[in-house]
Amino acid sequence: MRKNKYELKNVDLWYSDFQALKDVNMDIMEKEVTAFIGPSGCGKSTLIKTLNRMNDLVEGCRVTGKIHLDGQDIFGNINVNHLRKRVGMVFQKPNPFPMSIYDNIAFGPRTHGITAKLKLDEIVEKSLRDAAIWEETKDRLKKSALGLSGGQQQRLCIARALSVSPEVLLMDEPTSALDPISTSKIEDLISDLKGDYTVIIVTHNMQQATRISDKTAFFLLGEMVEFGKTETLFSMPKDKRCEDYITGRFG
Amino acid sequence: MKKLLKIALAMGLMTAMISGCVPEDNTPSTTTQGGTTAANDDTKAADATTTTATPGNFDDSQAILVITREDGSGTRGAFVEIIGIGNDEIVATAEVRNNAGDILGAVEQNDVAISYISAGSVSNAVTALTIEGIAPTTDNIRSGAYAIQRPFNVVHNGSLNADAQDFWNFIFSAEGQAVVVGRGYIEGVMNAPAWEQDTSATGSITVGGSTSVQPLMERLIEAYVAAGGTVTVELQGGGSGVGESSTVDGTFEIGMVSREVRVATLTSGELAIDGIAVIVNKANPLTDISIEDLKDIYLGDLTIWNQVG
Amino acid sequence: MKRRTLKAEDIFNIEFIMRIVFILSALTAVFAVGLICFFLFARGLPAIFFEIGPIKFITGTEWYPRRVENPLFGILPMILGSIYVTAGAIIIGVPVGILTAVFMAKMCPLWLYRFLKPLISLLAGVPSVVYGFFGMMIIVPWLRDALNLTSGSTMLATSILLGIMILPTVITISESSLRAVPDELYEGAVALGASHTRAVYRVILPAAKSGVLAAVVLGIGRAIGETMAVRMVAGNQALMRAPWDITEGLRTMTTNIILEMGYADGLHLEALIATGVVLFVFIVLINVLFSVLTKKSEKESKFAGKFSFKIPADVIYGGIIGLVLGMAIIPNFSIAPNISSSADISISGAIVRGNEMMSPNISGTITDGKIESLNIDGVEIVTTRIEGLFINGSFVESSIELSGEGGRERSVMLIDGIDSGEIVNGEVRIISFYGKNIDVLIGIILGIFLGILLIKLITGFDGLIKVMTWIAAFITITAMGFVIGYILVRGVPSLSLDLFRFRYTADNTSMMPSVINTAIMVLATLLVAVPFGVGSAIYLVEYAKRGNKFVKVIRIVTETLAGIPSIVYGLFGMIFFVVFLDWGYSLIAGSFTLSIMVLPLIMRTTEESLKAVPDAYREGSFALGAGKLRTVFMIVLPAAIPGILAGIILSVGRIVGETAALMYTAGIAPQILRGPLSSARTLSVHMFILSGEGTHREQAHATAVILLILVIVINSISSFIAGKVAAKKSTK
Repeated sequence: MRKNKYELKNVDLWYSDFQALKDVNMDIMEKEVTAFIGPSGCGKSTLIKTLNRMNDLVEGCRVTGKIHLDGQDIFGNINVNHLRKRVGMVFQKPNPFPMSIYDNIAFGPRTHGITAKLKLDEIVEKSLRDAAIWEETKDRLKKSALGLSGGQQQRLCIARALSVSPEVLLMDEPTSALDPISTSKIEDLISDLKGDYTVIIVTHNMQQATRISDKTAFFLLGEMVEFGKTETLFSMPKDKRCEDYITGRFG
Repeated sequence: MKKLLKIALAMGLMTAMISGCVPEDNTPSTTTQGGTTAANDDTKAADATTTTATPGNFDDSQAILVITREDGSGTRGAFVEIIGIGNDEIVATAEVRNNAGDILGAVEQNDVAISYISAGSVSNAVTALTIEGIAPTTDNIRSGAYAIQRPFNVVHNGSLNADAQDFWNFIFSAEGQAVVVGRGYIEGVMNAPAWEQDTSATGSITVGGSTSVQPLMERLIEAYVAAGGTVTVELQGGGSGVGESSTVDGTFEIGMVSREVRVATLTSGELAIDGIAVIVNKANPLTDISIEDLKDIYLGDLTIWNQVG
Repeated sequence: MKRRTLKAEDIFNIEFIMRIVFILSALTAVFAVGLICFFLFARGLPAIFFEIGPIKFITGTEWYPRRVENPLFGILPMILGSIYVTAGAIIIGVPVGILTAVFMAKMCPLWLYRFLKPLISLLAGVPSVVYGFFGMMIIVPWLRDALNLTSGSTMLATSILLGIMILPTVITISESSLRAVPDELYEGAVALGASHTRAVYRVILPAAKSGVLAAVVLGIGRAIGETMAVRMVAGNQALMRAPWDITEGLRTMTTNIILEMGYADGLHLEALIATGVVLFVFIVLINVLFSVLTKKSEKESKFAGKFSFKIPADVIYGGIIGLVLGMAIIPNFSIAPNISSSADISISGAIVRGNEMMSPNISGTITDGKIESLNIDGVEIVTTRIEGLFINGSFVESSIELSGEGGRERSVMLIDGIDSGEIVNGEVRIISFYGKNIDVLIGIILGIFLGILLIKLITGFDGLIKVMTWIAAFITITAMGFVIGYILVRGVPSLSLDLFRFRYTADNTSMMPSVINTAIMVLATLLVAVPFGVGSAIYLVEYAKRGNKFVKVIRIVTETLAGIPSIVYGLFGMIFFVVFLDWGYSLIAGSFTLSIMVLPLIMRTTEESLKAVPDAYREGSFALGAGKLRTVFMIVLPAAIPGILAGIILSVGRIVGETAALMYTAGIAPQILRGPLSSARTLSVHMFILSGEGTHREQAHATAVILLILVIVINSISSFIAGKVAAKKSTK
């Protein structure tokens, strides 16, 4: 019986005086893909960055309400670095470190204490395979990661995120900067991953959401307007605002 | 933790800034050369407090720190010649400084140091020794009783243009020589004649060379201007060697050399006589030294203070 | 329609012209180096090759240039001296500097940053002579007391002072590079669960590698070329030293030049210039080495995988802690044992008198540490005093008082069979292998281990690095506090209104004319250096193809220029501007010389700033149809202004603090200059002269205070301008 990975209750978020999230309530199921959609500025990126407390880096950001990961309050007595190990993130713009491919992937495990070369080799290979980029990189592991194409770099970043064996994978518009072929490869990848990971993806592209997600949440002006099974939300949206967005009347 | 560190940082900074004043520096007021009080340049005379031990606590089993001027300095050249050693025989481990200020600083800071500087540069932060009982006073230097002395020479390369000649006349005149004496040196010309100005000389010349002569020359130039001199005189340094070579090649109309002139093609005149004082730290109880001991110290044969005297 | 065609052609022409202009700017550096090489080599090399012999020059261990018969021109002691103190300065200054830069860029609370940054810019402007004072009055005596030495004027004192002096350079440039690293990299690391410290040290610092290395190279250049400060703390003995002789005095190549420049003539002068050439070659070698290490195209790097940037922070910091601990341990007990000889040791050997070695028959015995009997040529010597020290073998230099003869003889006696020892008052004491220096070395090594152990015990790695960083920042602040505190405490009481009269007299050594001269000198120098420097950088970054050979040449040439010591610039300036071009001791001779000197600084910092401007800006501009020139001047340059201004501030600091180069080019006339061709003393030169006379030490300190204030004012103005420009350019 699958349980909730994340439980959000009455979550509000302020950037100084501006309220970016208003009373968000949702439960995110484990081992499936949940998509956040909505027009620019609606708060979806803000919410996803809160789930691994990356918003802590922003000055003046305040969060109230409860966010529970596996029943545990992420703002409570918890080591934030350990949280980020459990909840990985892939950014919109690929950001590989200016190091070799190997070192990029090994960075995460090394951070969390794994230093044995054999073990690291194993992890690197597994991560690259899981990210479907092993074949393209196995002969150039020691070369700089900056030599890869955009699509490859993004898959590298996904591999990097996987290297610490997270439970959750947060993806903030991971394919918006990529070409269609890379996009398609990554979408296939996400579909493969969902058996083992909980994936939460922010996307601007509604077709992408219908292609890969199991559940979808629609956000508007900081509120979560509608949340439900993807098929249902797209074919029979309950809220008018959601319907208008989906049918292209705005956004 | 952070707050603690902030406080620690602030305290560290404050301590550092305050303790930046550790060893006191002393303002020189009178020179030891004779009873004439050379005009006191400095507006304040700081307290002559030293942080080094009073003479009573001086440990004379310590090694002597020999400090010398650089090879080529006129002061050094004169010094070694008079105490009777070769220029290159100064012990190789002697520290080297290339101006009076650094030498004073070094001797002030270290109680086992000994060195030599122009008698006109001595400050009351150090002790000037008597040589076999004779003190470096103007009378003793003039009479030759104080043996360690050397001439301040000015040179030209055979012919002086009207401008240079006018200035040359001034410095060798009664007025010029009065400045020499007023600064605490010994006059180079006895009974100098009064100055006869050449009022048609209105160009400019450059005088350069020995850094030891420089302070005196600066005064002479000012006195010249105050007396109505019309030539513009620019003063440069460079050392006695440069004083000679640049006069030969014409960069300087008049050169300053603080030792005997070596270049045969130059004409020289003895502007003043300067004593060289031997100085030690104030904590050192020594007040007198023999030429023999001085020689041995600089040769490196005498290495410990309790061997002296 | 006709107008349109004309316009296109115009643009084409201007673009073309400006391209040539930029190329020419880039060539000035090459031209300048060529000029310097030519004049220096022409004056210095013939003597070396034809009269002295290059091998003898470089490997000779004795320097007696003024000896009438058989003068010796060996500069090996000075070469080693320069190497030792520079290495010491790097060991001390670079880690502290880089860590402080990290602290300032990533860990510093804002209130502290606002205070630190101007402080460091301020210290970039403190002239070498002031540092020299500070070293002579504070570091040298302290070292003497702490280590129980005869004199504190040692290699160690010099290295410490130089380490402090290169801090501003290393910190400023490293910090800029660190700040230029894109935030996404940091976020990526943090998102993987890395702590702040780890993200900074493992990701951001490596990403800033090229800038940090540039900072280090510039720092090394400053250290190896330093003259004025070294002269006051190094002791200046022209003796061969071993690397562990950190408590001995030594002479560097730069000091060698300045000590004897005054009187040198003929062969001697050429030997000094040749010393400058050797220095020059050194700089080139260092730069080539660095360029090999950092060779990379933008995307691919041969070394990226193999050469991951690891900071051996624990070793370096353990070392510094060890140094401090070692110095604390040593005076209290000597680690190397003092053993009195218990067995009988026989004496034999020879006597060296003056330069002659004589081999009379010497025999004798040492029992229980005391010289029992000594027999020279059959004459029994009743020795009351043999003093000496012998090192590294069986060689003792001693003096024997031959009692009964009333005289004293200087001799060198060889005592076979004893490694090293000391004879005091006739008593032989065998001390450690290399004597006192080994004590210090052992103390340091022990201290290193202790230091590492201690800190590792207290914190894990993360904590270790964090503590190190805070310590580094603390060391920097304290060192700078000392320097500034010293200047203020000494100088402020001596300030008086008289010192600001417009007329300098020997009685009232007013500094006002020098202040005015300094301002003019700065403007004149920047007037030449900034256009050429910025122009060259624009060429290198915006026009030249990446990896172009020409670019590489220019880069090497630039870094060479950066490493040439100011005294060599002074030499060159004098030979070329003052004598050859017959400008005499003048403002323009000085300002042109200084322009060449600060050119590399401006070029390098401008280059880094331009490189930091994201390509996205350029692309946006091109996409709108703007030409290269317009893009550069309207978009790129304004975005790079803060960095460029940083470079200019550093240059101003250099100019204001410059002494050696100006003394031999702009001369020392103490009045306000009458025109570009007249000699003009700047404030630093004024300070140097005052301090050299010995009678004006207090005014010298007062001058230092004014210098500081001047630098503060200059820095404030520059920051203000930078802020204005940045604000103007940021839209919305």
